[in-house]
Amino acid sequence: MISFTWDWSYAIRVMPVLIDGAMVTLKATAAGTVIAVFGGLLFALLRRSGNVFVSKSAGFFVEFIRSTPLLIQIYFVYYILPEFGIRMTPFLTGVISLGLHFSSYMSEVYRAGIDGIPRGQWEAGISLGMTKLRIFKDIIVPQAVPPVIPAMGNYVISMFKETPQLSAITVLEMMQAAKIIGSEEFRYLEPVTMVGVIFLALSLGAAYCIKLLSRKLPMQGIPMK
Amino acid sequence: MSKPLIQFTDVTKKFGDHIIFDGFNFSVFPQEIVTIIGPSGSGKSTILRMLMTLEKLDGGFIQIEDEYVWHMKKNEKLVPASEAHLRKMRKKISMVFQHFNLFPHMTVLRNVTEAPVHVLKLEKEEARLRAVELLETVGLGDKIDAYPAQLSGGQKQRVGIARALAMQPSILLLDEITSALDPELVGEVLDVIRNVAKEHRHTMLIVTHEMYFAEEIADRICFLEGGAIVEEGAPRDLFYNPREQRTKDFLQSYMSGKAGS
Repeated sequence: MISFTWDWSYAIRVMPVLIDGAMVTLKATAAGTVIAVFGGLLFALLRRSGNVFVSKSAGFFVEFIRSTPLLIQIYFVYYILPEFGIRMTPFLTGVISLGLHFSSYMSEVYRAGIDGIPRGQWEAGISLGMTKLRIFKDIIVPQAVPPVIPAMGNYVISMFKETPQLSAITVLEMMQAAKIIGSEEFRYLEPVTMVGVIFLALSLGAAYCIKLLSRKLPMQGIPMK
Repeated sequence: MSKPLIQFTDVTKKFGDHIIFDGFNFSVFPQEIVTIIGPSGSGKSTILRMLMTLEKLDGGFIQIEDEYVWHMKKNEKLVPASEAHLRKMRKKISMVFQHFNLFPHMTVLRNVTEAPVHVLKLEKEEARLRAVELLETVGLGDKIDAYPAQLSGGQKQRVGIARALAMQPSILLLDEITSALDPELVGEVLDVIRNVAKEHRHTMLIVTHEMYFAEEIADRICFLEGGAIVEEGAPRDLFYNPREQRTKDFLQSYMSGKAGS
């Protein structure tokens, strides 16, 4: 019989294990964010390439990733890539899958930011003889990024909430820790509830931070002296 | 007369189905200051933009001295220019824009040093010294650490001029540089151009609606309508003694428009 009364002593006893799991969750989110932020920028730039083959391939790849479930991508990287000799730890697999998946969303965010820059900025750069790369690096990206940081932050929160999917490939993140405790002790109520509360608290906290941050963003672009 | 510095030969340009130029020919001589006037939509700015490589040609050629702007020679044949060739040609030309197009996230100084450092490969310190000097000549020596948003329209455009001059171009293109300014700020920008014209003798191609300025500064005025130069000549002749009826009509309507406003 599973009892529905809340057992505080049990909850306190399993807390450290869940906190260890939460650390893994946060690490996965942080590493995934780094991949998504740079991968997203890379995809956004490749999609704007003058080379049609490059831009179409990048566009196809982004659409493909956005249109297939994260869970399938995680399974694919973990179970199928080793057939081709690419073998990674569960954590690394999870981080790369998360990062790639969200880089496809991030690339759309960057694209919105880049499209928002007036054409005159490009024309000034071209007229001054700058290379395309230089125009991107010094003129477009510094102006395109600050306005889209809130949107990027929201995707980071989404990514954070998707980390339980890594439990499918045995990554010992928060949800996996709760599942293991629950199956060992035949009590899921406390660990799963606590995982939910931790997710809720961190997501709300992060959303509040984004709100604060978005008021301080330099809307004229990242200042360059 | 000497050989033309800039030569448009049989240039064709379309925007969608709308043909702007069909077999357009035009040349500018070294150190000449040419002003293009004409009704809106006649393609005045497009001439400058094609030369600056901001608008592609649909046919014909543009040459600067003996080199083609939009083409290059490969095994004795003319082929479309590579990006590197276009960049090389751009170094000869600088443009000042109607809407300034300053980089809003950069200080005034950085706006002026950015391209000299990265394109002309000047040492940072040298670029800085030259930029400060240029900004002083346009009267903005005290604004070098300001951002464009902190400047008036006239000040912004003077930064735009300093930025263009910092590239040490042989050709300077001015595309309606006072059209976006409040009337009381036009004078300070035109004064800067007067000084530039006096001191540097760049070859200049100017599109403007300021007729008095055009008369004063230009060696030659071209009246453009319907994608062709209807009439051209020294400012005095063209303004006070136009031969073509269409030129007369344009000047007439322009003057009455001015008087009415």
